[in-house]
Formats: sequence, structure tokens, C-alpha cells
Amino acid sequence: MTGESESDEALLARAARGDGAAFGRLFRAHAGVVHSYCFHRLGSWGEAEDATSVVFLEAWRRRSDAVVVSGSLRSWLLGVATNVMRNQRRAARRYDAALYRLPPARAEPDHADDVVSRLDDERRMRAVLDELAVLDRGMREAVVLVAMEGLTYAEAAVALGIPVGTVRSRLARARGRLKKVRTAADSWDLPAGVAGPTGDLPGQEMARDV
Amino acid sequence: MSDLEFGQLPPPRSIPGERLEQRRILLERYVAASLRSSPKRWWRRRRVLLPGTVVVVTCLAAAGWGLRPGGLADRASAVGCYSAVSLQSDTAVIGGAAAADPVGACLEMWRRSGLESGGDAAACLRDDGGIAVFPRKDACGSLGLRPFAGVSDLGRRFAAFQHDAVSLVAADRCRPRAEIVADLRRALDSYGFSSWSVDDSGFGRPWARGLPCASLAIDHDRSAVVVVPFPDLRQK
Repeated sequence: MTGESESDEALLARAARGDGAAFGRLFRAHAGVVHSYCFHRLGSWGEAEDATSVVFLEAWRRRSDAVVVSGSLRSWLLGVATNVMRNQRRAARRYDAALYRLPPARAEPDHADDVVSRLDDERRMRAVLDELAVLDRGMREAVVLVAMEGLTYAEAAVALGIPVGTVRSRLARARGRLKKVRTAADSWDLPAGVAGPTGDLPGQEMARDV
Repeated sequence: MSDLEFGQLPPPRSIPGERLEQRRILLERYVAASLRSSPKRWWRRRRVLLPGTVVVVTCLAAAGWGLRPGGLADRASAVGCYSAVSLQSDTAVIGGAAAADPVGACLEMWRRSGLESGGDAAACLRDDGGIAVFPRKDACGSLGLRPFAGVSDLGRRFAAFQHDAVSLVAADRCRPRAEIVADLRRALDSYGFSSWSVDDSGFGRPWARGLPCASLAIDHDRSAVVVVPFPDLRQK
């Protein structure tokens, strides 16, 4: 939901009738979620920002396929983002680079700390992505959507366009493989309760959904 | 569930406000422009439709080749009566009004010549627009020619011109050549064949010596009416 009294569905319908501002409101409402997901897949804030714009351009192109879950386009948008991530170059080629590539932000002295922390984020994210590299693409997508973005099984199923049971089996296999790798590496010391953005443990989220 | 926990996961970060607004504005402009540009979308569709239409038309044309519709003859001043179902077979050419009933004219000619066609014949259209009659009913299909379906307006007009031109020359073959050429030129123009030429260059050739008068030939390939040197029959 957008939080401005109108549902995502209504905003999309208005946009389709020629109200560009309505699509702008959808962008404002979901850009954060999409941006976060793109970062979790790409490991770079800058690339994630450009990818976020491409995701919304693609969402506009595919608006007739939009799926609203519980009044929200979030799952569907993350599904569009998943497709964009699968083939970034092809997706980006459809659009003029000026539409999604802004000049880099100026690094001002006051923001030096921010720059450092962003670089640190990227370093940490790359480490996570290295860990996920042992999974195949399907498992990786399911893990990021459920464990990092906090989607329920059903929402992940909508995003990936697969049955809920397939989401469950992919996560189970991913869990098994990660456990195996971590045991072998014997170097993991994870703090308890670290989970997705909602603070819920992924397991609890899943249990609600099944 | 700890296997799906990632302790190093960085905290979420939003796109800086100013940049978010820039991106929103770009997106809104794109959306508005894409809705305004329906003619462009039509053009995009045409880019797909046009090649598709060409393919479909080509396929239909290829499929219908064996069922070619009848065609109109542009050269109707003569009919070729072929002795066999072959364009290389012996041919008798009949002029006059043969184009009005090519099959009847050829059957009559073959009968008078003592040739039996069994009463079967087909009139076809040659690729040069002329009429060809063969002694078998399925000849057009087997030779890949269209059946003759009549004479085109152009063919009728040219046949009329040719009839007039022959009369004009035959009226006095031995009058000054310049007069004949001028009359033919006027006739061509009056029937709408201004692009055709009158060629009397044969009179300068060695073989034309002793041929002071004129006959007529039509060269369709060159679009030329040829004034041909002809003997003076009055001297005999």
C-alpha cells in the first residue's frame, strides 16, 4: 500500500490512464524495497540505484501482468526486479541510459563518514554474496527474497512465478547446502536473532505462511 | 533456521532524497511520453506487421502459382497457334481479328492445314503479353502460363492503332517516306503511344537498294514501329 489512501492497484490503473504522477507515487512507495533487494543481489549501492530505476521502467512496460497481493504490488515488483537481475544488460538495453543513470553524487567533506560506511556495507554484502555463490540461481533468489527481504512463502512464490511448494523445497535445499558449507568452513559465529528487515526470524515468517 | 541468517547483512539504506526525486521525475516523464506516443507504437507494430505481411503474401502467391488466374493480353494483334504443347514448337501466326476467338481461329487454321488437334485446345497468355494457343486443354498449367482471359484496354488500343497503321501504309507504299513516317507518328500519338518511335533506318542499308517502297513491322521490345524497305510492285 502507498499509505496515501489509494491502493497500489488504483494507482496503477490511474497511471495506465495517463496519470504519470500516479506511477511516481508507486515509485516513491516501493523504491526503498526494490533498492534494498537490488543491493542484496548486486552488492553495490550505485548499481542498485540504477537497477531500481530499470525495475520500475520494466514494471511500467509489463503493467498489464501486474499482480496485487493483499493490496500491494511489492511481491510483483520484486519479481520484476528478479528478472532484471537475471539479465541486467538486456533489461537496461531497452531504455535510454539517461533514464536510469544519474551522474554520481558529489562526495562532500561532511559526508565522508557516509561514504566510508557505504563502502563498508558493500564489502560486507560481497562477503554474503560469496557465501551464497554455492547455491544455484533458483535457491539464491528464494533465499534473498525470504531471508533478506522478508517475503512470505506465498509472496516469494508470486515474485518468482513458481508454486509455494517449490519455494519451500528450494529453501530447504539452500539451508542444507549452507549448513554443510558452514560446518566445513567451521568459521561461522552468527549472533542469535539476526534476520530479515522485519526482525522476525525467517522460520517464524515461513511458519505463518504455510 | 540459523542456516538462513546472515550476520554480516548491512542495514537497509534508502536512495538519497534528491536522487530519488530525480529518478521519480524521469520515470513520470517516461510514462507520460510512452502514453502520448501511440503513433510510435503503431509504427513499432508495423515493423513487425510489414515483414509478416510480405511473408504471408509471398507464401500465398507461391501456393497459388499452380492456380494462376486468367490474364489479359496486351498484344492482341496476332495469335500464335503452336503445333505442340511447347513454346518451342512450330508456330503459325494469325493476325486480324483472331484475338476475338483465339482457340476457334487456331482450330480452323489447323483444320485447313490438315492437322488434327482432336478439338482440344487452350489459349494461354505468354509472358510477353501475347496470345498462344496449344492443342491440349491443360496446356497453360503444364507450361506455367496463365489462361488467356481476354484483351486488355492497352491491347485493344494497340490493335486498333496497328490496324490503322497497316491501312495507312498499304494505301500507298511508295509515297515519300517522310510522309509515311509523319502519318505513323501522328497515329501513334493519337492512340496514346507517344513513347513509341518510328524507325526507318533500314532504308540506308545496302540490302535496301532496289526497295524504294515501304512495309510495316512492330518491334514491341524496342517500342518501335519499323518502316521496312519494300519492293515497288507497280513496276512489275
